[in-house]
Amino acid sequence: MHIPDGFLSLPVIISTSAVSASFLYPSIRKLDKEIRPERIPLMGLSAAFVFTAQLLSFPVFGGTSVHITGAVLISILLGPLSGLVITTSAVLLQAFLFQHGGIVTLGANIMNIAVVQAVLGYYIFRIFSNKFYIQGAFIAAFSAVFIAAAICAIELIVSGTIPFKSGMIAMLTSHLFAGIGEGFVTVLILSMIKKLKPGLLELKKI
Amino acid sequence: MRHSFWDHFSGLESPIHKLSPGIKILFVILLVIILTMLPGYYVSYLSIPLLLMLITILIISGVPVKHVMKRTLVILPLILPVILLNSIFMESGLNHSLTLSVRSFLSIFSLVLLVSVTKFSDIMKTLSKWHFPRIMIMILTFMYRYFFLLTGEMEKMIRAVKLRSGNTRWPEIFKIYSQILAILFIKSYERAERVYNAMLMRGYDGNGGLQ
Repeated sequence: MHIPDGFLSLPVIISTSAVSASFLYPSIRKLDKEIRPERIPLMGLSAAFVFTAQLLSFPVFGGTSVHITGAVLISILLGPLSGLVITTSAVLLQAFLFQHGGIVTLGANIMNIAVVQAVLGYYIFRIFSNKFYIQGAFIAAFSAVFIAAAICAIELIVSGTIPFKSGMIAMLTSHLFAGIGEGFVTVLILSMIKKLKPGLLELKKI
Repeated sequence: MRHSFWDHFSGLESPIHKLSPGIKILFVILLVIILTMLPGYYVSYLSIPLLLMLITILIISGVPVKHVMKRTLVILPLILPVILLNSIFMESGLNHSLTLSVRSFLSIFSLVLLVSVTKFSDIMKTLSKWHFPRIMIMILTFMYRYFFLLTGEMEKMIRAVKLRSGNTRWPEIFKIYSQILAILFIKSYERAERVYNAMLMRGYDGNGGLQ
């Protein structure tokens, strides 16, 4: 889902960057003001965790493998603004050090991965979390990945990079499975944490 | 451990390495913006001179060509499906996808070059000089420092599972890997507590941290 440089047209780049900036700027201001110092190492380590988790490829049937994005997971654990900033940092580091994603397309990638998955995913989770914690986590992780894939496809289509119909179908079918995988992994991780160290599910959500 | 994998050759000494990191970052960003904004027609004309320029920089810097090429080619799995979709379903698809690949290839090439000639800590210092948000810089430096440790821990756990359970396959492996990630998060949390205590002991006051 990381869009490399050269794949997006200028209008798409400008509008997605505007959306990302309008989410990031107030969130960073708010975090800067409210954050307690002991939270900063936790956010840094969680970001490193997200990064590491993305490297683990889960083998699936047929010899292929998928990896998770972990955006919804980290938002559920630490809160939407923390999730936003952590996934944004992951996207930045991937762009600069792994060449996974681009520089000019940062705005679009941050929108697809951090804004849509971490923030929207968290609020989808919140709708269900009071009564159905586990099911809510599954629905949130699945729909976050799926919606992000649709938005990513739209960005590429508007830029004229991929054709409309076949591009949309390719993106959505591949991410249908990725979304289901993400949902299952998120649920499995959350229930394991609940079993081993339940206190971690009640960290302050910022 | 793949510690040396990232900015491996950023410690070399060459005229390029000695340039101020700010100039190098601005140069790459400018190059990528130009590549993105130019219409396809011009990109095909500009590609050869740009490529020659980047190769000249690469040779002056003394970074092994093989290393940069290997890192640049990670883009292939991303480009190929797009080219495939284009050539099958779009008129003039081949021409279009050629421009796309030239654009992204040159962008990636310049990025790989940037991290091969600039230390990560220098990039971070420059960003903080440009008033990049403090909290993001702190998170990024934490990521850079602890990513290797966490990867090492994860690899150790996977090796342990493989040694004990032999040839576990889908779908059991899915559950096991998720459990490994859960434990990894708990370990990261506990490490964060220890790191914070160590920072306090050394006089951390909640501000800065990046000298």
